[in-house]
Amino acid sequence: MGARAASGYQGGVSRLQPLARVLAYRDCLSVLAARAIKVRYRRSVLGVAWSLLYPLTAMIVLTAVFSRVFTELRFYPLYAIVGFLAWGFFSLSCVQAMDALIGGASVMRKVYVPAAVFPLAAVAANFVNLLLSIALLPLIAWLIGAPPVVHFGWLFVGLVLLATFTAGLSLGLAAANLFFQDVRYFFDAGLLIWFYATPIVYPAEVIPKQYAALVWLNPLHWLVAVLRAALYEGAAPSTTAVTAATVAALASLAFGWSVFSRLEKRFYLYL
Amino acid sequence: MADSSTPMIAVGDMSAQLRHERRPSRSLREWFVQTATRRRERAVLFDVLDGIDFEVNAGELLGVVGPNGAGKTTLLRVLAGIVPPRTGSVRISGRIAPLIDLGAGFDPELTGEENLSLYGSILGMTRSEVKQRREEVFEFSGLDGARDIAVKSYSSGMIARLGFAIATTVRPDVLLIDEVIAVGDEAFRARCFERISKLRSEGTAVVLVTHDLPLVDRWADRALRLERGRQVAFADARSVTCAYREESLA
Repeated sequence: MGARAASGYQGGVSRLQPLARVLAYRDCLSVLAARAIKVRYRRSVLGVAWSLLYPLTAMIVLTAVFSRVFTELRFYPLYAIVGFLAWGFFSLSCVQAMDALIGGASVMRKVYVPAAVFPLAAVAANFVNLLLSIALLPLIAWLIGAPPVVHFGWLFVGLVLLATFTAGLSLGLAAANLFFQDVRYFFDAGLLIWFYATPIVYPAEVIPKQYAALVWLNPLHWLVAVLRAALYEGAAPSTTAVTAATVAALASLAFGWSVFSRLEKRFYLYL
Repeated sequence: MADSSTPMIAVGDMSAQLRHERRPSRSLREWFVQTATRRRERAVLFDVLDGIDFEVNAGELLGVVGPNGAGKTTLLRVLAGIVPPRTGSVRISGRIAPLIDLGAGFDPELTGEENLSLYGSILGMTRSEVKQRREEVFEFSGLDGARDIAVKSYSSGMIARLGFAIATTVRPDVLLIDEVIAVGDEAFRARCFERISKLRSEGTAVVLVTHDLPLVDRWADRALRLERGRQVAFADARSVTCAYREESLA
């Protein structure tokens, strides 16, 4: 045996860098995402129409509760629903990514699969859902008599940034949750605070001056701002919003990926 | 096909560790408390495998025998790249098909055909590879009539047949089998070994973990015997199983 010198494991995709391993399993990622979508809709008569029901319900509730409070906003339901969809994608992705990695453990015990495929598939499935919901926005705009304004260029940018931010945080959370299984519960509680601290159902202007820094430091505020510019105002977002959203997205991905790839080496002990 | 002079699997003085599950829950809360009180408990690792040293050539079948808890399944998991070796080296050439549990990765809610896509992709096949081999998989497994039925209503034998058919449909260079063939009926077992023989004639190296010593006598070239994570013997199959039989009876 000549190659005794080389220690460790060599075989399968071990020669590939972590990112290249995920790319090599991209078909697996899309099959897992498709399954997540399929299983969600399989048992319902309405099928994909469920994705319509959620934003519609949210819109009706929000409108009933808040539209008389924030009268300075034109077409309040549309304002709220854009933020709500972005938030829903973000929060559901993170939570389901944590569950997906735990659920993937039974597979990873027996077959080598790059672990990142499981949380990323959860994010991808929710992203498809988000796209479906956004496609229905013109209908909602029509219902409330708002002019359909969509800026496709900024919509694309906003979606890419939101997905990047969400993917990064989802990876970090999913890895942490495999080691400490109460991360999910802490995150759930944090989400509730985060939701109300973000201008989603209310305009940013209602935040008192002394708390303005909180909004300023909230990455989701900027990510939502870019999407809102594209889908609610039909205009270009402010440079500040684009810059802040881009920084947040890249920082999240860099942080999430480095946490994940560092912790991944010890996953086998906890599967 | 690989050069016959280089083994498909080469394991050199390998050891591997796993963790003792001290308590079922691991929580952030506990971690904070322990860090604050400076009583961090470190994970307790133990050697599951130590001093493992063997090789498997192209077309060869290695039988792995030993009592429960000897580390046989962990060995397969090391070979599959799931558990990293702590020391020593493991070199695997080419495509690995791990049959550590048939149907690991099946979703009971999905149909047989959907599970083909799912399990195939988990094994690292591309979409087009799965598509090309769809008919062959259902023909081999004899489940053509059940392809549109949810897998939750399959019997364990049917699941094993589908799993085996999928995992071996793209010719693997290294096939890792953990006792799974035992689930199927006699006819299916015969077909499995027929296929394994065919794969071996094309150069696939096979590692078969089993308690069935006559099976090892009949099919294996060499055998590896493990006891409590240590390698007791690595030699031609018959001599290993004979010694194992004698010592087990004594």
